[in-house]
Amino acid sequence: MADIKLKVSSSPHIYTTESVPRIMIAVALSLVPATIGAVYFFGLRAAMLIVLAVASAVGTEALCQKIRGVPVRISDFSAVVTGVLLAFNLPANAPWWMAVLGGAFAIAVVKELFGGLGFNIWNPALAARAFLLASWPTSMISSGDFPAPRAGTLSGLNLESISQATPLQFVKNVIAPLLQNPSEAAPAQLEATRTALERMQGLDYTLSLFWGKVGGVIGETSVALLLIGALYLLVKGYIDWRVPAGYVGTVALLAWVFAGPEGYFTGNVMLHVCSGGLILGAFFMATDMVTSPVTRKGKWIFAVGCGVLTLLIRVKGGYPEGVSYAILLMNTVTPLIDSYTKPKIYGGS
Amino acid sequence: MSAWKVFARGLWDEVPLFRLVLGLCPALAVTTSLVNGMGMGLATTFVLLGSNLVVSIFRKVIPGKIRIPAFIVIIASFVTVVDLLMHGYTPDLHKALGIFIPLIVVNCIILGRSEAFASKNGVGYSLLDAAGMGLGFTMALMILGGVREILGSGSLAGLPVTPESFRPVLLFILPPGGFIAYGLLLAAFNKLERNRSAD
Amino acid sequence: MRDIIELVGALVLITVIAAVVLSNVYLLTRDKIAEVEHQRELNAMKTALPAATVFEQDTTGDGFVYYRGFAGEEKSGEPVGYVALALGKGYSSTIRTMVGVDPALAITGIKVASQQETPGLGTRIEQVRRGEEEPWFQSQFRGKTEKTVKLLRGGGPDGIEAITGATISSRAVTKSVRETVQRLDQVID
Repeated sequence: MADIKLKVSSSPHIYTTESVPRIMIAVALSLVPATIGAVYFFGLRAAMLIVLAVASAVGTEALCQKIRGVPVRISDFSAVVTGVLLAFNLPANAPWWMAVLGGAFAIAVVKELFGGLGFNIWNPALAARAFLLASWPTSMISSGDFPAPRAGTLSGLNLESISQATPLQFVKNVIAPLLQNPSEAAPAQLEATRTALERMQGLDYTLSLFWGKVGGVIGETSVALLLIGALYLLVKGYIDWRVPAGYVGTVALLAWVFAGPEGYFTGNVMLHVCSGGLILGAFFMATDMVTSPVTRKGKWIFAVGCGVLTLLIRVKGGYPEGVSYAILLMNTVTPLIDSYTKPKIYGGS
Repeated sequence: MSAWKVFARGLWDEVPLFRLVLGLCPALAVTTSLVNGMGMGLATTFVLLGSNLVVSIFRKVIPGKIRIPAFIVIIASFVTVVDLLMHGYTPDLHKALGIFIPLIVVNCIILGRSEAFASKNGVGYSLLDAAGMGLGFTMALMILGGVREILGSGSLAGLPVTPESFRPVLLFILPPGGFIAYGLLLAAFNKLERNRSAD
Repeated sequence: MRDIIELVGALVLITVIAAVVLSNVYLLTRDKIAEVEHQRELNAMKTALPAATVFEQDTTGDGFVYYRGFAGEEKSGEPVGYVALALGKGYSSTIRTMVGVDPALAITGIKVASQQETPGLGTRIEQVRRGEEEPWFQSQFRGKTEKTVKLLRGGGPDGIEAITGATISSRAVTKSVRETVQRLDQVID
């Protein structure tokens, strides 16, 4: 008995090692359109942040695996994907060292300290984003400081009287307090807000969100480019349609019911679906195999949970955007979901 | 066991925070700066000295069946005394440590020493044990508080120690940073201990 | 049975001793604690209204507490200003701010008495910049009147510059100060 070492690992228990690099390379490829878009929208600065985040993630991975005395597996591309996704979550004017520290934190603390690929509880890129947001909040969320994408504006509204903010920041920080205390605002300001709200309902506005004419962090700008990559992954069968469908669907439904400025069932669905990090999160981060449930039922629960939390944070929380915290929170309960949705063995009790 | 050994045990071999992994609640909650860590450590040391002294004196009188409630009453009394004294004489520190002072009552180190040591040993040894454990705990809190203050505020004991271009990692003075800093320090202590026992 | 009586007796004895000790310590420290609390409050009031040395408390019919400040040692004559506590709902706590005004209702100073805002963001309402002595956010309020106590990009003589990334905390302080000045306006004739 003395020398038997039982290896205890989390699910899935059946795997083939070969497919890890193949899947990760596919994910990396699927991010190429959005990466090209990022460089087009935000210039070389975005390229620099992406390169730095990837280099830092890969370098940290190699270093950690050396220290731990396990084979160095940086060629599996998982650190590359983490680096790109992390950079996608930064505003284009983030200082360069934030990309470096974020990449190192994602790999060293969130991934390798928990045992490396397959053992991490949270999506490394998102956890690193949370780390950066908690540590240097002024560089991550400062209102009005996000750079606008090329051929577009930060709010997408072209209204002089509206201070510069992303659509979700605008909804949370400008509209909500204004509608709460209309007496405090100048009439002109109220009028401008009403115009803005109306414009946001229009098809033109949705299209500008879709093509990427509205500001945000590096990778969330263009819904179209993200969907090209996502489609590739769906066709290849590397991500499960249930997660993005359940996630985006829940957000859309709840946004329509609860997020309207003038009562229930007046919410701007397309604004909530196309702006912010929802598409990026739903297709590329909530689908992370390691940190999301294995079973179909579990995936639905996970996706709906992400949607509910995202909208809860957007409407009631302190931050304008809730995608990253929603996914991180659902990552946390993933082992629980897995254990409750474990298929029963036929004949077992 | 020699007197020195009783005292020194708390300083390294059984330093509560890093070797026994006891007393985490106050350790993580208040160690946002060196001074806070030291204040909490010294307050705990004082309570520990008092409770170990009293428990040791009355160890033969207190009936075994009610020893735990008796210990708790003694500890709670000392904590209240510390709370009142600090409120009166070190108001700034009292304000910073706030609600965590009453929580010393439930610090398992204190009940642990009453139960494991003071109720079985004489007054002298019990005081030495309390002093060792208390100072070990204080030292550990100061290390944790110092690391978190340097990284999270860019200062040590309130004085700026980092270049002005350094932008403090706020996370380290927030609760999650407490856990991360503690985990990393724990790993470092385990490594040190392993090297020491390998020699 | 005998066992139980013995145990209960022992525990009662221990608690009685503890109670006696505690009540004595309480009596011993009571005055000192009251003095410390009073001093803290007085310091905050003096920061808000530097011209005054003594303060006289008054309460309006609907429970609004404010203080008249007097220069010199006597609580008599014309007050040099008024002080009241402003309560603002911040991001994660109620921000309590001591507000001082002169008889013409221009603000003489404010002092945040307590807050538990987000470290690094909301807590910057108390931030003192390197090389300066006063918290920059609070010192902006000096000289402002009811009309100019409002957030304004750039600050200056006509408004208060908000803290980047902490608009909610800035707004809470500004709004509660303005409301308090308005209350004081109603109270003093």
